[in-house]
Amino acid sequence: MNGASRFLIEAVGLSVSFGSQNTRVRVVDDVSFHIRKGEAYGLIGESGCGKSTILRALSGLNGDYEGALVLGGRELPKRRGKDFFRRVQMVFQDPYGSLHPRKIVERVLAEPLAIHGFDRHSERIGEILDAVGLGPSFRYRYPHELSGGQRQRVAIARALIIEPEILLLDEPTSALDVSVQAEILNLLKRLRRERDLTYLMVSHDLAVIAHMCERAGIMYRGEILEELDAGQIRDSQAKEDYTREFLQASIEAVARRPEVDA
Amino acid sequence: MDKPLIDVKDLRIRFESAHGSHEAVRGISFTIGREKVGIVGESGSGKSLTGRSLLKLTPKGAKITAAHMRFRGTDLLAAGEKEMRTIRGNHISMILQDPKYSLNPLMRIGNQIVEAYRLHHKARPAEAKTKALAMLESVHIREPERVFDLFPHEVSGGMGQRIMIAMMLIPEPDLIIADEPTSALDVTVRRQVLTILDELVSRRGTGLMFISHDLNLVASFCDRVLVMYAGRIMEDLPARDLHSARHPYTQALLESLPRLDHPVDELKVPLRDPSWLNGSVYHNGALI
Repeated sequence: MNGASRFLIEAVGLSVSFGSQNTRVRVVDDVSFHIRKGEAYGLIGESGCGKSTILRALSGLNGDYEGALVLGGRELPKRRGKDFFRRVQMVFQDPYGSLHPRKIVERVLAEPLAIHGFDRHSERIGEILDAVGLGPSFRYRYPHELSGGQRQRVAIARALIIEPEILLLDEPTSALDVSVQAEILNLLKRLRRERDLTYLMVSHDLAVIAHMCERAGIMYRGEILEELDAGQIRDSQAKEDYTREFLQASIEAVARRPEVDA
Repeated sequence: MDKPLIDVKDLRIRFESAHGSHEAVRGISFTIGREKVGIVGESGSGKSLTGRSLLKLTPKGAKITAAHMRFRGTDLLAAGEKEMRTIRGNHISMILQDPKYSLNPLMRIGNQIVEAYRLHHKARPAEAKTKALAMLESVHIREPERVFDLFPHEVSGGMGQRIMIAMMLIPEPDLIIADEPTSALDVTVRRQVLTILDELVSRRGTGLMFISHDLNLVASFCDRVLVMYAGRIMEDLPARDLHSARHPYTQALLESLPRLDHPVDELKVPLRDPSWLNGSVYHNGALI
């Protein structure tokens, strides 16, 4: 275990299987990666490649995995304790599904505070709403009174209110419009800088990952094929055939302008 | 070219409620011929409602008015429910966003396609089945015989969407309204589905109204683009000119996208100008 503490998060030989006996499928197969403190690491791949499964295993939503997940040099127990959630929080893909429809924003935000025994509830709620760019008027609203972008801001506020070190982001903007996506990505970037956060972000959108993360693992059929840094993604410097194809498919859609101008 | 399939002038869709009325689509005019027309806009811009109004599938409270709204000479405004039923599917069909919700979960895939075919053509079951299998093959499904007997939950999203396309194309409509047909799909699958859609649409000369929030996708896939904002068409231009769009809203949308070839520290968030609500709009790069 020595030397491992250079990294804040480490996955060593992580495997996840679903199903029983002869129908058992390995959806994550011997995956290893590491994330330094303050870094943003991305996992990219198509649906079904296992990227969200890794996130669920790491977040403690699925304790049925093999291999080790290490946080700050210590292997995490399969059943996570409260101290883990104090340090690691998650933001989900669908802001329409991840907020309780019958709880006003204030109650949504007060819950994690009560669970983790924080003081000054009211002030903290005010501060965090401010930090995610929602004014005090949002405090007494129900989720149905908020737009998709505002809900995602509430979800981010809920994750950050207990001052965690790590945010796990599962496609945080894929349900949003491009203009709202720009707002949320800017917000996440700013919060990371201000609060010295570490991100693990899952997305199928290459441009979003290249914008947000320093490094990313390209996943295919449960494995990380290769790791690229943002520059390599932008320059399409991939070794594996699949990665190249994936980069090509994404770039074709994104970088249209040069062709058009030519 | 020949006469447009769809000719809409000054279409307005209004919702009346106890709090007063709200106009979701505010006086738009457009035509669609045998071409691929993309409608882009953010949620709430009225793009889906516009698509649905052509089939008169808008929610109950919606009041549709227009100077005219014609489909190949048929006045859609005056058409009754019976007449609409012959138009729906037969002449205009619709591909929805998520195959998970738009396929019947309790019915085998093949039977759903057969049903779509037999609703519009007089055909014996065996004949319809042959036709459905051929259709599955034309959307590049490798083992049509096997897939025919599957239930929707047994296929992937990309395959589900191809099945939807098969189902919508089998009555051989003149116009297809595709409402975000690929936004639930992955990039690699998306390309495959679009290629198939393009292939079928071009081969039959079907008109396509492609509703999407993805500017890049529309720019590369469609022939013409209508940019909608707050219930109005802000800009109507050929897709290849999208990146030299004139309207500040279109430009702002394009700038808010993270780009691979152009790293930025902070993305531009479109600022909305209230004057756009009633201001001037662009047609083929010219102010009108």
